Amino acid sequence: MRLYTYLLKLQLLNALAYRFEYLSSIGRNLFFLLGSVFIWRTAYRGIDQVAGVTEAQMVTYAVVAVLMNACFTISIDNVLFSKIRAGEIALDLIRPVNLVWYWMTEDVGRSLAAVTQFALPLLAISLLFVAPPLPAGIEAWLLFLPSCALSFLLLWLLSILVGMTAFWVTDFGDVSSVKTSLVFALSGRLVPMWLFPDLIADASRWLPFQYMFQAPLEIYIGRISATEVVHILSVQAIWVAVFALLVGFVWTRAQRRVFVQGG
Amino acid sequence: MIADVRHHLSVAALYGRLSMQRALEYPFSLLSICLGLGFNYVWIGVALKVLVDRFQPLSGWTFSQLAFLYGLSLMSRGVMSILSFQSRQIDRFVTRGEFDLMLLRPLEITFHFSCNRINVVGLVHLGIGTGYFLYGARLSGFVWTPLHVAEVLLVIAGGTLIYWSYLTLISSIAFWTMRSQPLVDASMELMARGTFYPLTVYPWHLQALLTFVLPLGFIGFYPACDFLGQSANTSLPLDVALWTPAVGIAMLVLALTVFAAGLRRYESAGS
Repeated sequence: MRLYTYLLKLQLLNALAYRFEYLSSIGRNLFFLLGSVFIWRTAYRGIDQVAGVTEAQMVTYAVVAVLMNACFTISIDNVLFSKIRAGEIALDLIRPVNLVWYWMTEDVGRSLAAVTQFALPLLAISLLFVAPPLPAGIEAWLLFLPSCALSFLLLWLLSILVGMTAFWVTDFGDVSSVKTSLVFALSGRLVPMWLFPDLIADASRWLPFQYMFQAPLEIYIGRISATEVVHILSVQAIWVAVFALLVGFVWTRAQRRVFVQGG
Repeated sequence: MIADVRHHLSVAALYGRLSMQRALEYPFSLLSICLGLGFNYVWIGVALKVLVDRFQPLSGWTFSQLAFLYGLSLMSRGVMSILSFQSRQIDRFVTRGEFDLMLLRPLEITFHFSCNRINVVGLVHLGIGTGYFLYGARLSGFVWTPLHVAEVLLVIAGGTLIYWSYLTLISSIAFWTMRSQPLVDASMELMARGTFYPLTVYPWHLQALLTFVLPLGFIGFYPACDFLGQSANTSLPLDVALWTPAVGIAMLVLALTVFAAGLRRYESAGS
């Protein structure tokens, strides 16, 4: 456990070292945030609510979605691609640690650092343009936190699964861009799935994507009842378990596929 | 002069062929990038349709008009991306010393830098953009007169110049700071926000910024207003089809000046 705590600290310090990247990332997220907020405000002009959600709730949804995305700094898919292509994976494999936990700790460290490094400054700047994006209540806030943690796990497990495809197909290249696009679209990060036609909204309930962003955000803005929250948290936990089993299964086989070029 | 132009064109064609061959060497990689990008663009269109259907026309723009604007902007972006994707990667060229070879070859450096890679993925922007534009044009009553066709072509050319110059200007910062990629990434986000949606959804100060400081509004928004008869909150003298290439040329002159100044500071990568 001491090892993983050390790794966590290392990632926190690492994340603070790159100021140029930091300012640019704040800028990128801010443009996205403001763009979303102004589009929602325009859409709601003269309309009280749509699908039971008011303009204030929707703006909160959009702001918190950007903050969540800024915190979820998951790069395991790209890290695995480059490690496998460059043969650096061999060095990792001889480390006396559980590699999946090792990689996860790195991303958890980066994401925790992002809370103070990105989310709080972004929130502070956004307050110049929007009202404080408060949760629907103390219960909503308390339930949002575990849901958000499950979302992170789910996204991370999906990312490592995508990254592990490189063990089989080294020229799969930017397959993570397909994953990113699917998550961007179907997670409800841009537009919540409940606004889509029934066919798309119903189909998306059977996919894991909306449990990566929309589920905690719905809880945060208080769109769903307490019983629905329990249901959503259970579904998130089931998806995490399914993906964890899949990762375990693929990882066992992936280690037998390792080959390193060169001498 | 003519022989010189012909020589440069033949070099550009050769680079184009090499880029195609290089991209096709990794078909899965190419396919996944195209699928990811294509899905993204199609989904943004779907999201806009949902927004208009469930709420109301966005700042007075119907879905077909939004598709027209989105398509017009994407087409310019596609042409820029095909012809000069590397304009956004100057920091890589600086930190790896990749300008060394270009400075030694008997070719005009800006031309060489711009043409040394033809980006096949740009065809996705161009293809999807054309699809949206044609759909939007058909449903929003755009009249296909020879004059309008010429104006659209002029706007695409001008928009391409604005995109290229905007990215080159920001990416050229690397000549002074060695790093510009994160800033370019942030600028790409601003570019998407400033070109895909009507500027009238933003407050007046952002509209002013995207008109007078970073004139991204001239890529799609102002021409689309002119073609579709939408209100732009800003009235411009003369035809906007002339404004876009004019702004493009002004931006190009500025970008080339900064790029040339940056090249004079270039010190190669030592070890």
